[in-house]
Amino acid sequence: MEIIDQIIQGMSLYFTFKAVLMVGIGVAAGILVGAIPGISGVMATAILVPFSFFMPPTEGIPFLLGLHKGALFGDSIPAILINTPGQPAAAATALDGYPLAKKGEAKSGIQMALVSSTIGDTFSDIVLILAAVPLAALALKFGPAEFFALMLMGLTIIGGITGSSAAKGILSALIGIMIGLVGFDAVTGAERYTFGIPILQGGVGTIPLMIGLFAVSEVLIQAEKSNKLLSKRPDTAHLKGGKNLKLKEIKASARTIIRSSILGTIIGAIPGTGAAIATFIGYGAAKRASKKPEEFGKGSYEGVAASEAANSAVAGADLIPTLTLGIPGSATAAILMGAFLAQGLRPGPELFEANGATMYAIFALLLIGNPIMIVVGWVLTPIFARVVTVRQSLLVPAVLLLCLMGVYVYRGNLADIQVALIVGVFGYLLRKIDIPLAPLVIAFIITPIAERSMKQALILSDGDFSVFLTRPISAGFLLVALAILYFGFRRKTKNKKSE
Amino acid sequence: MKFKTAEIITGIIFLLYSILYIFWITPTYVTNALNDSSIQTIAWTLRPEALPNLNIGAFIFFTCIMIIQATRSKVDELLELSFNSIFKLLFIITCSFIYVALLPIFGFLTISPLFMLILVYSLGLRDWRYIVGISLVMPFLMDFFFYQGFQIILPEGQLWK
Repeated sequence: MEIIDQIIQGMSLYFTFKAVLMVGIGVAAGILVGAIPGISGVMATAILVPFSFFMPPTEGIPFLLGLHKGALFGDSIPAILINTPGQPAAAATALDGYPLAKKGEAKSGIQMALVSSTIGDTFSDIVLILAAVPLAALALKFGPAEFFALMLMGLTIIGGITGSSAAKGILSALIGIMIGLVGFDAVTGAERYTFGIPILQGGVGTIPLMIGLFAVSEVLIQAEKSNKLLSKRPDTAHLKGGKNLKLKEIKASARTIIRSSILGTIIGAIPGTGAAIATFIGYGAAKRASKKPEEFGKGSYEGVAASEAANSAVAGADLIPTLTLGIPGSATAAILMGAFLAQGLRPGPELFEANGATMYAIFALLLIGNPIMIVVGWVLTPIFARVVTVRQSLLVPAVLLLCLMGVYVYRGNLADIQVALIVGVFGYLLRKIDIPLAPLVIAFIITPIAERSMKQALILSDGDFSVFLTRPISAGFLLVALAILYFGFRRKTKNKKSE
Repeated sequence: MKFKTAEIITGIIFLLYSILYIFWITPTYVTNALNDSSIQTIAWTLRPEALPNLNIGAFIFFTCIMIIQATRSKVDELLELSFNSIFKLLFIITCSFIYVALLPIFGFLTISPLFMLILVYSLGLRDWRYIVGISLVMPFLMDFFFYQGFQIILPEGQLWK
């Protein structure tokens, strides 16, 4: 009965015309920014998230959910039209999308990406809804020791399997913890690493860090290209005309879409695996199972459907650990978690107890967001696609200005812009030597929560560290973390041997 | 520069930073705001510097692993970084910091077109119609959007008050 009450309460709060409209605006904004060449879904989310802080939760949360969906699909537009994927996950889409565009079928290629993306997203949303409540209920039985060990395990998974080497992934997570430790210690009230700067007393701001790491560093990566390349107008010969996607083409790819949706959901539920792995596994599986594997890479609708369904299925699935355990499954989920925190929602097992009504409303909005994405994407993509025709030398400064002002509006403090610029340069250097950024952001977000759990467990055990090893579930999580580290380094050694 | 050389240099910088972190930053900047002497008597695992110390220990360990892996690597890949790109990046960063410093004095609408103009020109575009167009349109559009959409006033500038 309590659940039904919460569902009714959630619907009455969030199921308004304004909320649905905000989902649509979020989707449109996500597609538009995601469609800018060189801007990934993560970066688009980071740039647009600050706007949600100026909305009440009943509008801000629907906007964020729409944004999450739109930005993912937006990535596929430059991948298909000009062979410029915003992130590795969209690279598989470009393999067949760009040849389709060259054949004059860009419009139907994008529509196939939209349809498969929406189906993949819907599938993973349903799995999220079914899995979230039991998983959160199970996590509620954990004590602080188990919870800390679980977070440590999550971080090890994220660090150990993200990027080219386990050491670099873990280093990235440790840097994230270092930044997360800035501010007041929750137990003793001691001031840590603030260097006497007042703005750091509350810790490094989430938005300056996210925008700096993902957006400013990306702007710098784009800006280092040669001036000739930056000021050249992209080849847009494939943009005009083209046919609409036919139902028989969707039917022909139906099995591929379902397979990729399942694969993407399973892979996405494991923190840190990311969309890139899911899309290439989905693409490979589709090619092996296809009746026409020879068409892959030459403009196959199945190829586009496989990668896009897997890519979007990751989006819903990586919200499973985010919402139920408070461990973001990806960089985008970490940004969303930061935004949810700003909206007064604390992702984690207690979320369903403290904000049950809001959670059920979020689930409903996630599902409603999918048909909205089809409509918005179908109608507005031909208009938004024109953004790929703009020269990079115009886009880079415009995006930088938008990023800087996005940071400013977060707290109305110019010092935050300076933080974002410093973090941006740091992020650029890390990317140059192949240190992944996702573990850093995820570690930064969960450090205060993990430290609180650690200290609670230690207070109960009079400061004895063995509490994490004597409790079976906690010890089990730590063992899994060690095993992941071991296999992470073995993977690196094997890769080196094969080189 | 070879990629693995860059990794080794990064590792050494990380190690030097770790030394600084352990011997200077943590002792100096983890301070008891309440000046409560009881903090000194609690178990070390509960003290504010416990997690930072554990974290830096792990950081040193994995940095050493990264350095060892880089020294053993037989891949001769080059780091994608040219003198021109370093110069361009330094220019953009310097311009951005100067822009942030001038924002409270001149205000968003005055200084942003100039900032945009310099950046667009430095990134290679020479068509003045586009340069002036985007430099004027983008800041005004943003100011309008932020104010009309969210009632946010971007920095107005002390000079005009």
